[in-house]
This record gives sequence, C-alpha cells and structure tokens, in this order.
Amino acid sequence: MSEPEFEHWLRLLGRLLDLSDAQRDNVRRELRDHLETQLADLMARGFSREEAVARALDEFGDAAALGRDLSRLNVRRRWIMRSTIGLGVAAAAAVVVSLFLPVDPESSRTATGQETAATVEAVPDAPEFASPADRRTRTQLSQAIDRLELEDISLENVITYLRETSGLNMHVHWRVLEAAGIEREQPITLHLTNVPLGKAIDLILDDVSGGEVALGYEVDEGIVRLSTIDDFDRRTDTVVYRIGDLIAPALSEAQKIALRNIVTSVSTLRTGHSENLSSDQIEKRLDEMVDTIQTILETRRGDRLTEMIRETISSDSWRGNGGDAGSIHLWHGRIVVTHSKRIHRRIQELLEQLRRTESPVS
Amino acid sequence: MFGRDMLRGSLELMVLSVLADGSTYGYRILQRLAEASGGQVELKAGTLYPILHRLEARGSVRSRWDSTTGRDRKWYALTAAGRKALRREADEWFAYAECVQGLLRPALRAI
Repeated sequence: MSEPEFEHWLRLLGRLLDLSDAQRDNVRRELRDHLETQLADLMARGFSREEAVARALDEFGDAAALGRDLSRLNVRRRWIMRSTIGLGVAAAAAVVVSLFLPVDPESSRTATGQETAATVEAVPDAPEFASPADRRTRTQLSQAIDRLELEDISLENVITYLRETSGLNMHVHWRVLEAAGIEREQPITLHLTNVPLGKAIDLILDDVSGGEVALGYEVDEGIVRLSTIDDFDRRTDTVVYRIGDLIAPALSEAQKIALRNIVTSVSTLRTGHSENLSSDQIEKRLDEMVDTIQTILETRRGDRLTEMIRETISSDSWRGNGGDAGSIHLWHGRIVVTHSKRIHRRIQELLEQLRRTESPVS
Repeated sequence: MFGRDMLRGSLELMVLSVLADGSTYGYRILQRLAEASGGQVELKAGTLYPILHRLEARGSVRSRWDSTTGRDRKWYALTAAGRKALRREADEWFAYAECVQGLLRPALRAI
C-alpha cells in the first residue's frame, strides 16, 4: 500500500464505520497517529523511512480483511452482504449516495398517462413506439443522482446497489459480458455528482469495458437491460414509420397548373389539334397525369430518404451494404424498417429533425 | 499466531484486559498484546480500532483526546461498566475453557 492508498483506505474506513462526519474525522486522526507512532518506532529500530512506511502500511492489513472484520459491526443494510469481497459490499452499503431527486409532481402525473411534453425530460422514444412502461423507465433514468462514490466496488455489487436504490428492474446479460471478457467481480472506482441515472450507468459501463468492448443499456418493456452493443444490435424489431408528410406533396398548386398547361400544349403540338375529347375527359386525363407525376416524384423522394438513412445511420449494417441485420423498404408513404432499437432511435431522431427543419412547400 | 476463528471470540476480552492495567492508546494496546502473548497475538490496527469503537459504543470504555505531548493522540480507559463486563466475561471465558478442556482430554486419549 502506498501513501495515497493509505489516504484512500482511511476515507473508506471512515465511511464503513457508519459514523457522522465528526466521528469519521476522529477515526482518521487516530489512525494517522497510529501510523506515525509506528513509523517512529520502526525508524528507531533502524529501518529507513521508506521501509518503515511499507511495513507500517502492511501492518494495517489489507482492505478486504478489514471489510470482513468491519462487516461484523452493525452496518445498515446487511441484506446487501452477499459478496465475497467484504469491503466492496460494506462500502456499497455505506457509500455516500443520496437517492434521486424527488420525482417532480408534474412528471408523476405524466407517468399515469397524460402527455405533458414540457415537464417530461426528452424521451427518445416517440409516443407511438414506446410503451407506457418504457416511458416510465426512461423518466426514471433521466432523474439525477446527487452523489455517487464508488471505490473498488465490484460490477455486480454496483448493479445490485443501483437496482435496490432506484427500484428499476435491471437485468444484466452476464454470459454475454463474460464472453466479452467482463467479469462480475471487476472493481469500479468512480466519483460522480449530479448525473442522471442513465448517464451514470453509461459511465459505469465505460469504466468496466476499459474501452475494449462497447457496452450499453436498452429499455425493453420497462426493464433496463445491460449488455454489449453487439448483443443489442443482434436483436431487431420491425417498425413502420410514416413519412408521407416528408415526401409529399411533391407538387404545389402552382406547379400543378403549370404542369397541366405544359401537357396540354404539348399534346396539341403533337396531334396538331386537341383530341376530340369533352372538356371533362380532358380534365380527367390531366388529373391522372398530374397524379402519376406526383407519385413518381414522391417515390423518388422516398427512395432518396431511404438512401439517406442507409448511408448516414450505421451504413454497413444494412442488407445490401454489407450488413445482414437491417432492412428498409419504402411502401406507400411509409418506410418499413427492421433493425436494432439503437438504430430505430437514430432514425426517429433523424425524421424528427427533418420535420423540424422542413420549410413549407411554396 | 492463533487461528482467526479461535481469536474471534476473545479479542474484545483481551483488549479489555489490557485496559485493566490503565489508560492507554491503540498502538500501545497492540504492543501489549504482542508482548503478553509472546508474539502469539499480533493484531492489526484494522482489527483493533473497530473493536475499540465497539467497546466505546457499548459503554465499556471511554476515550479522550490529548495533544499535550505535541502528539494528537486518543487515549482509552475502562469505565465502571467496562470493569464489570470484563469480570463477567472473564468468568464466562474460564468456564468455557474448562468445558472445552473437559471434552478434549478424553478425546485426545481416545484417538
């Protein structure tokens, strides 16, 4: 144990003893005195300061052993004590976490059914796709944690702790994680203040992944699943998106009139005279022509939108682009998309942005 | 060094006995225990201090800070309740030891 580790150990010990701040300070003072007395003793016996420090700190015992000893003290929430790493578990119990900010009364009304966009945090799932359970869960994930301090706590314990304190149904795909080289006992050290729970989960996953494998979470019928991104990407849903408003009307009224004039004058030129049609029949023909042209233009727009989606969102995951997971088909003013939840979210965002920036057809 | 399980039941008793000699501080208690046991009982600080705090919470010992020597040091002493507890637990310990001895002697002869 080095000196910074000693300070760290001291802090942890202070917390574990379930004491007030004043009492914790007392403990630190006392242990510091002990350490210094021991150093003086060892140096008097002939050890160099370095050797003395190393020995003295060793004699303090390792943190896990301390944890086991301290776990016999009356620490609150004994039910958490299932881990073999006594310190991690005890620390999780005593760690300084204040629970989430109280649920805004506005948003609890929202949770029971009323859509008040103003009070609910930006919920990525558009109303027509997210079940009420999903929306509730996302609201909870957007609530802020005041403070979260984790020191060498195993991933498993951290999840247990978050699950118990948030009340969220969290489900970890352990086998997938282990196959990716992430162990349950992997220790996490993290200090966060004022972060939304969802963000905290992201940061925790970042910490254990060490940048080696992409991890994330998904909301699925109110359950928060934690796994690798690959795992999530392999699960696909088929969703139908309305895009009629984005690709139509292809022609404005003025454009339609101009088109009719052109068609009329062209057919007159070609036949030398207008066909022997009643004005009603002529009108009908022109309408049909304009409709056909409109449909062609809309389909073209739809195709272009589909292309844009395939090119800008996870381009190599679409079938035909080298991937095997995703497919997208244009169908009568809608697009039918099969892909992972993550990609669906990005498509929703894109469509929303397109709608927001769409200027009215002149 | 005695086995952990063996020690667990009697550590508090040992600490109380050291304190019976008079007011002292943590580091010194560890030294006394090591000396008195001929090196057989070598507690770590991480073991001792929780015990001291527990004893204090129970009212068996009291503590005070003293900085007069230039050192910021916490001293412990037995309370009256602590002395009573020591006597009572020591009696129980001897009774227990006798009981175990009574079982062990014939058992050792038998094996």
